[in-house]
Amino acid sequence: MSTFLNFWVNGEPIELLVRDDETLLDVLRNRLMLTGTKRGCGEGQCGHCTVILNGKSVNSCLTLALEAQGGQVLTIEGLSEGERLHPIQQAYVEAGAVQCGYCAPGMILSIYSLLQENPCPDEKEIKEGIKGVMCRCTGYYKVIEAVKRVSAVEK
Amino acid sequence: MEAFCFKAVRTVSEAIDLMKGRPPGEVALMAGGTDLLIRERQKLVAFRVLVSLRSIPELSKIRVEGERGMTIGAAATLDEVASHPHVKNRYPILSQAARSVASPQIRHKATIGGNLCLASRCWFYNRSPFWRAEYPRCRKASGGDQCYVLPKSRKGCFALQSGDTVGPLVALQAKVKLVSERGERLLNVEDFFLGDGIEFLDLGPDEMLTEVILPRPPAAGVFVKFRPQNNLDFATFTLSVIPPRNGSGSKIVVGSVASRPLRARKAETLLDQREVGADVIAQQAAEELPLISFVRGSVEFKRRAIEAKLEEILKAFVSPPSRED
Amino acid sequence: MSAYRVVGHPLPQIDARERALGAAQFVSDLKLPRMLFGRVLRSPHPHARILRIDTSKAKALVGVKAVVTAEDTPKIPFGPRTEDWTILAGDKVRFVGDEVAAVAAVDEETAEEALELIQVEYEELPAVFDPLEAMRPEAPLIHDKPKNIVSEFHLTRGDVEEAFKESDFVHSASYFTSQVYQAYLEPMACVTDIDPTGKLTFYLATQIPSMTRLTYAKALNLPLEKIRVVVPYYGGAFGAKMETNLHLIAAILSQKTGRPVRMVNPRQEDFMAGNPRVPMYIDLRIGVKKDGTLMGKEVHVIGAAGGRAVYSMVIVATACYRVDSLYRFQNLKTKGLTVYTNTVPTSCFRGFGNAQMTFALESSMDMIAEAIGMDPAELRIRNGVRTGDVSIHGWKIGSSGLAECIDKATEASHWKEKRAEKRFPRGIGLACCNHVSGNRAFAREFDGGAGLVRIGREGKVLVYHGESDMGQGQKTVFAQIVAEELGVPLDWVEVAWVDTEVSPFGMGSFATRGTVFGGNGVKAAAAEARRQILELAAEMLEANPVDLEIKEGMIFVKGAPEKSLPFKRAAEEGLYRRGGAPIVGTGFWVPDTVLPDPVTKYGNISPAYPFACHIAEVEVDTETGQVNLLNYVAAHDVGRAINPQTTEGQIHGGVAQGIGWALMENMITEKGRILNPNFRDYVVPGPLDLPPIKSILVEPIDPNGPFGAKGIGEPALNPVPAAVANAIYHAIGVRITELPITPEKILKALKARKR
Repeated sequence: MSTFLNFWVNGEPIELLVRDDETLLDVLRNRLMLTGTKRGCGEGQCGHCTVILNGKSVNSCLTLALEAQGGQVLTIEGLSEGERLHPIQQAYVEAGAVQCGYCAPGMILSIYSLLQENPCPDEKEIKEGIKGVMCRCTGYYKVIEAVKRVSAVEK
Repeated sequence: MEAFCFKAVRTVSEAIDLMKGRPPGEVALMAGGTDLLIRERQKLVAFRVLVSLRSIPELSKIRVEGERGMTIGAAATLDEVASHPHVKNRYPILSQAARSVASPQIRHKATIGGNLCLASRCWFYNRSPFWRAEYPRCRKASGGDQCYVLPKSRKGCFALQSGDTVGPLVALQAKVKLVSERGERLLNVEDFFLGDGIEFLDLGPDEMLTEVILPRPPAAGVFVKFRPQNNLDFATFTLSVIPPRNGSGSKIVVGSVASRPLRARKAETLLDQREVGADVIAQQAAEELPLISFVRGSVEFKRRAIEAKLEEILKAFVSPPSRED
Repeated sequence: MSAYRVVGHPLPQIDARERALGAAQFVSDLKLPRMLFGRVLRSPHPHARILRIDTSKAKALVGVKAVVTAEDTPKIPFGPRTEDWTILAGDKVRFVGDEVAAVAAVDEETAEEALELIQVEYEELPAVFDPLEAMRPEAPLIHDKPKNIVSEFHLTRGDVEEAFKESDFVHSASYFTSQVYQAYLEPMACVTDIDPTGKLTFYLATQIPSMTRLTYAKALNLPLEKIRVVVPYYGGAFGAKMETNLHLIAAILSQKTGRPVRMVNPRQEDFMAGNPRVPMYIDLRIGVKKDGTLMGKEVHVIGAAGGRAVYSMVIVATACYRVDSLYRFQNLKTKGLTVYTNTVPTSCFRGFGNAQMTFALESSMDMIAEAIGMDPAELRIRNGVRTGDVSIHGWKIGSSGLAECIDKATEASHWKEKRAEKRFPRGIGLACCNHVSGNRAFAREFDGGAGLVRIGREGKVLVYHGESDMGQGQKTVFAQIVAEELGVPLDWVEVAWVDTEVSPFGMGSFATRGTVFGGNGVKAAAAEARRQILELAAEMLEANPVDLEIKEGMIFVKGAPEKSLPFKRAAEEGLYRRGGAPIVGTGFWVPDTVLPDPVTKYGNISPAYPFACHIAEVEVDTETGQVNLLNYVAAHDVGRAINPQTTEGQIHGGVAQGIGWALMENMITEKGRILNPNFRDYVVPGPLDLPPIKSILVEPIDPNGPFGAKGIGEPALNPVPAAVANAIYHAIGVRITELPITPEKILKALKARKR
């Protein structure tokens, strides 16, 4: 069964014919070639598929594409403005939070979501806020530093 | 391969209509989908029609009914429940439980209705077909005649109730509203759970959970979710404790250790009476619970940990321990 | 502050932007025209004969372009070190997850559906899962060998029995280190492509591009020039991404279909059929004098190889004798066995056997310190190797910062005060480690590193190397070294993807060799490029090349800075003067290492030896057995930190992984089948599980490393489990010698102690 999906991705209107059982993750990666969003586990455990749907971070592997009908999706590609990194990305790079970078898109969008709800999180709140994304390279230390950096700047 | 078709509905009656007269399981209701979609991929469920409840406005409303309590639409997300000011202030154990689930990403989609109805979980059941093939006689997965958790059992399924908000809802004496073409009915959350891992909920195949109804708030209680690591895994157990008011009404509810939330009733009575110490009450509670050994921990480990955590909690509600030795 | 302009400065990775933008193309992101999607059919049995495979229904499914079995492969036995691999299982399957057949289809879903249509008839065989069982004479044989032994390692030095006689105390203990999953974030993946002449291009997440090519040429029965390996961005490895059948299966599917094929392991399959850490049984006996002098050590190691040998025997060998060059051992008797089991093939994971043995040795050192009444830190310092030592196996310790690491770590953690207090259930524990920066014994062919540095007409510098950046920051370190050597700003330097068509042959990134070997290789290449551009500049400036310097992209005459020339101008002019030829410097570095004697194992195997000292502080909940990590200090001898930021990042990640191994990660298996093949039930540390950490960099400046650098990758993890175990012992008097240290084990041990 296929249905037309009309939604916005990174501010652009998109119309696609999608299968009813297709996930948002697959649509983004395979149909729209936005490969910044990654698949790490397919079960909502690793968070590498995180996107912002209607203002809230979600696991796109556990979201059917049709759930985004008429909605707004923000992927990592939509965060930067042309060449200019979003302040979160800038802080992330400067703090040394990038190692292999596979979790970076999911992590950065998680941070984006966290700071929307809580612009000045303390360390515990930061940890709770990023726990939905699994990182194996950094031990999270420099990720937390990046969040502190960007939330201090925003202050 | 024909998968399923997706139907977004705008009203509860549209959803009910779609379920009417269909063979059980052919139509599935989805609010957050964070568990349903995984089970579908693991081929634990197969449905032809997926009804998306996200577009039913009244289903996610959270309404404060003054001092009489509040109603929470079944499709309110765990994040919405956790951060609602009235829930945080007057039903803090529910707010804490909702907040303790998984990750922000999951909580932005998963709903309180979904958490209540969360399919009972088992180490041998919640797997893809490749792994389940090793357990072909599982009663829950393949209608077989064996249980791999309790091989000596002659019947029954011991899959665990796993939604974290269940314990607090029982402790808060919440009710659920169930709707079908035959009308509405209200059930205590405690009675919603039937205690079997397979026939898990008192929810008909054509019924839909629409609302969670909370009575007047009781005394603020304590919620603890115990898990080996602080991260995403399901709880080894949850504890929801409400202290007594005027010598009655205590609740000690243990979640995720059985197919239904368990109340330690004898311990509750002791807590009501406030004549013995926290240690005695905690011990009573740990001993009266029918626990089973499971991959997450043996019975002995769970009893010890439950007792230890309960004692910690109860210290705030009763006088110092009665043990003198 | 650094003595250098670029080297020694904390800098973000040079491609951090691309990764943070989500623009970096990882292997599993690559899409080629007409690309197909492959999936593997895996054995559900740990040990079985394959009687019949019927692929007809799968082949008939619309969208399926190829279904292959062993019949479609050259059936040449091969392997990275042994010859017990086949691309697809022939007569037998030897572990749950063994590759039986594969499918290429137009999309992933069709490929998955096709798998279900392949019918395989098995005859189950008795299976064996534990190496101790597999060693028994009556155990079912897994390969065509009279015993399930992959290899044996023996080493004797001096006289251990004499040494024990002379000891005041002989300690003995037994350990078990668990099989754990690297949990790199991007599952194993590859894209293969084939051209009309049959030449295969592999886009691989691989730590060893050049060596992989050798193994695959043999497996596919192709001449080497028909195989090209390209390494895009990839999501981590930690040792796991070496040779794997997944790549070869994709190649076979490309051969069959004439089309590119992408294969990515679904996570559950990656758990099941990856290459987790070699589980080991370790028995130790150590004799010591009252004054703390270590007299002798006897070691027995038994490691499980799994259903086929990847690098497990090298890992067991490493476990057997690498620690002998941490302390000044004089008498040794060592035996190691690597044993086939009907379980997933085990292989490299950060630490490579040294991690397993370090847990055992450092736990034992603590017990010894207690037995003789000595401070554990003091015991290490007393016995630790020092700069200038030649160890018992002939390892030349060019620099040792071990003592300084211990001093700094104990100071930063308030060791003395905290050890003296009895603050049950809080405790503090220490562990040290040594490691190598590259291991000559790993490959017979050669030891060394090489580079190629190209200066373009705009002055842009492009660096080619043969190692692998799995996220640890290899490219950045190479760029820094080249920028420093050439005297140009860092952002003028780019590092190319490794492509075996152009890149030098590199052994690859393992054995913590990348910085030293690859670094020295690109440094030599940069020096040669520098020589060439200075020769040109000298002509242009009418000066002597010897009198020229390059700073911040300006070439000038020493002492006469007004006689100068922009680097970019020299590069451009060079092009015009030389018929368009760019400046290309190639260079290489061969260390002073030797292939150890096969019998005596004697010989200096590495140019630089890193050391570390970790201190963990814990509080144990004696009611629930949970361990709360309060603080962690990690002091590392890194020679010189080329990039303190990336070095610290490695320490952070290594400690986190080590904590996971110590306390929470466990591949739970039953009859050879992993029961927790997902991140819900196989729990890796999250941000709330990890303690505050202080990392300390100790820089003795090694004589052999580039700018004095040594490696960091594996030492970052090695000491962690022992530091935690020792802290738990100090906290509650309970000694756990088996990983992981779970709450249940702690409670059981506490209960046993009470009785």
